[in-house]
Amino acid sequence: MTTPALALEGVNTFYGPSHILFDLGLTVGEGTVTCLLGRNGAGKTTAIRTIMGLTPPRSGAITFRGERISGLRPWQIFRRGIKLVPQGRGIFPPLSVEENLRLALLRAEAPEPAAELEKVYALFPVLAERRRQRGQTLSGGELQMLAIARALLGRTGLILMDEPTEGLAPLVVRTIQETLHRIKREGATVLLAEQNARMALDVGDWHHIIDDGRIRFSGDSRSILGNDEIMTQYLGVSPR
Amino acid sequence: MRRALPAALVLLVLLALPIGAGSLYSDFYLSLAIRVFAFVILLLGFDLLAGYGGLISFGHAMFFGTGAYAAALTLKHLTPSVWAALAVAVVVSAALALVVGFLSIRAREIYFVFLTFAFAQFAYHAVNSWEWAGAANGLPGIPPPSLWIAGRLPVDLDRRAVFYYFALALAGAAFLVARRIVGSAFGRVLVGIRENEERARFLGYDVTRCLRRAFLISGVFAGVGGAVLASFHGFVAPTFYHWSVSGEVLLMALLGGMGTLVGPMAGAAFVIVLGDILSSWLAERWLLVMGLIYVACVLFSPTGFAGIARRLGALRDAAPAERAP
Repeated sequence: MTTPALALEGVNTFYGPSHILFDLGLTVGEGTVTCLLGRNGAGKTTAIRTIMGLTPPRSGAITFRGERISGLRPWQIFRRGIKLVPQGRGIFPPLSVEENLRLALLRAEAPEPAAELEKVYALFPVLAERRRQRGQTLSGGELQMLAIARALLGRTGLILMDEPTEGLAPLVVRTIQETLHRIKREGATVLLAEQNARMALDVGDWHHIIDDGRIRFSGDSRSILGNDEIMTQYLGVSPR
Repeated sequence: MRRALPAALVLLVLLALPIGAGSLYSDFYLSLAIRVFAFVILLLGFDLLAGYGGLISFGHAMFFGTGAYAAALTLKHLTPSVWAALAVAVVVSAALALVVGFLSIRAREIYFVFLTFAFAQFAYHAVNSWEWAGAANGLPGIPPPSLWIAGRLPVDLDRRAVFYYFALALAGAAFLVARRIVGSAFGRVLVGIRENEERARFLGYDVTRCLRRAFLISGVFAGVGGAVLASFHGFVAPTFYHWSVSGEVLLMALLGGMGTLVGPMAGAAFVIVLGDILSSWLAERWLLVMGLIYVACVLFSPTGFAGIARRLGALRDAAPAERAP
C-alpha cells in the first residue's frame, strides 16, 4: 500500500437519529484507485458524502494529505482538490454542457481554463460535439461522462466517484471502465464506491468491503476474488 | 433578429410616447410610465434573486421604501442633485440589504420568505413612528431634483417629459446591468444554486456568500427603483414599505415569468397599466379582475408571459417543418 492520500479513522455518521457509519476506518493510497464495495444500503454513499462534507461526521477524523478535513465545509474541501462525481450524475440540467464545465472550472484553480476544457473534450469527444446542448437533453452515459469530466478539471487531488455505472447500459459501462483505466494510468487518486463488483475488481488496486456501515474486509483484487465468502456474502456475486 | 425587432419597436414607442402627451392624450400616462420604470428596476432586482437565485423574498418593499426615503431626505435636506439622491439611495439600501441578507440567508424556502416579511414589517412600523422621517404622514414637499451634466448644464427634472426620459434611461441601464450579471459567471452560479444548492457546494461554491451577494445586488436595484419614484412624486410615505408592495412585486414577477428578466419587466408594465385602466372602469372591484388574472396565470401558464411567448415561438418554429413534405 502506498502513502495514504486520504484516511478515515473512527468515523461515525448519522442521519438524524439513525447511526449509519460505525467507527469507519479506511485509507486511499496516493495515485491508486481504491474501491468501496458493498450492497445497496451498505453505507457507500454516506461514506462518500461524509468525506465531501455533505453529511458531516459526528465523530472521528478524516485527513487528506495530512490535513484534517472533517469539519470543513464542502466548498472548502473542494478547494483542497477533492472532487465528487455524485450518484445520479449531479449536473445542472438547464445549463449547456460547456456551461456545466465552466461552472466547475471557475473554482478549480486552473491556470489555463481553455486548455482544461480541451483536455476533457479530448477525453470525451462526445461532450465536445454536444457542448452547446443543455444538460437535460443528454443520455445517461453522456451525463456520466460530463460528471466525470467536471471532476477532472483543474487541480484534482482525489476523485470521489459514487456508483458511476449505476443504471447504464453495458456498452456505456465499458466506456466508463475504460475511462477509469485511463484516469488511473495518468496517476489520479480515486475512491470509487461501486455495486458493480466485477468492474471495480478490474479497475481497483485496493478494496474496502462495507456492510451495515462497517468495513468488513480490505484487500487487493486477488484476495477478494479468491475469497468465496466475501464474494457471495457481501458482493452478491457467485465466484467463478 | 427575431428578438431585436420587437425590442426596437418597444423602444421606439417608449421614446415617442412624450411627443403626444398633453395633446393626443393626457400626460398622466407619462406619470404612469415613470411608475412602470421605477417598478421595472425593482423587478429586475427581484428577478435576479428569486428568478435566478431561487430565493423568494417577501420583503422587497423594505429596500424600495429605503431607497425612496434616502433619496427624499437627500433632496430635501442636502442637495437637489438627483445623482446624489441616487447615490445615497444605493449606499443606504445596500447597507440594509447587507444586514438583512446576512441574517435571512441562513434560512430557506418559507422560512426565508417569513424572515424577509418580518424585517420589512419591522421597517414599515419603524418608519411609521420616526418623526424625523415624517412618521405616518410621510415626507411631503421634496424639491424637484436637478440633473447636472458634466457639472455645467442643469437640467430641470421638474418637467414630466424630461423626468420620463431620465427614468427610461435608468430602467434601460438597469436592464443592461442585470443582463450582464445574468450572462456572467456569477449569473451561471446563481442558476446552479437555484437548481441544486448541494451540487454548487461540492463544486467549490460558498453558496451562502453567493446568495448574500445576490441579495445585496437585488436590494440595491430595489432601492434605486424607490429613489426614482420618490424623486418624481416629490413625496414619500410609509406605504412604500407596505407588505402589499412586496406582494405586488411577487405577483408581477410570477405573471411575467421569473428567471427571464424581460418577463418581470412586462409583468410590472401589465399590472400597473391594466390596474389603472380597470380601476377607472370598475372602481374598487378592479382587484377582483386582477385576482382572476393571477389565478388564470398560475393555473394555465405558471411560467407567465415568458412561458406563453416561448410556447408560441416553439409553435411558429414547428409549423414550417410540419408543412414540409
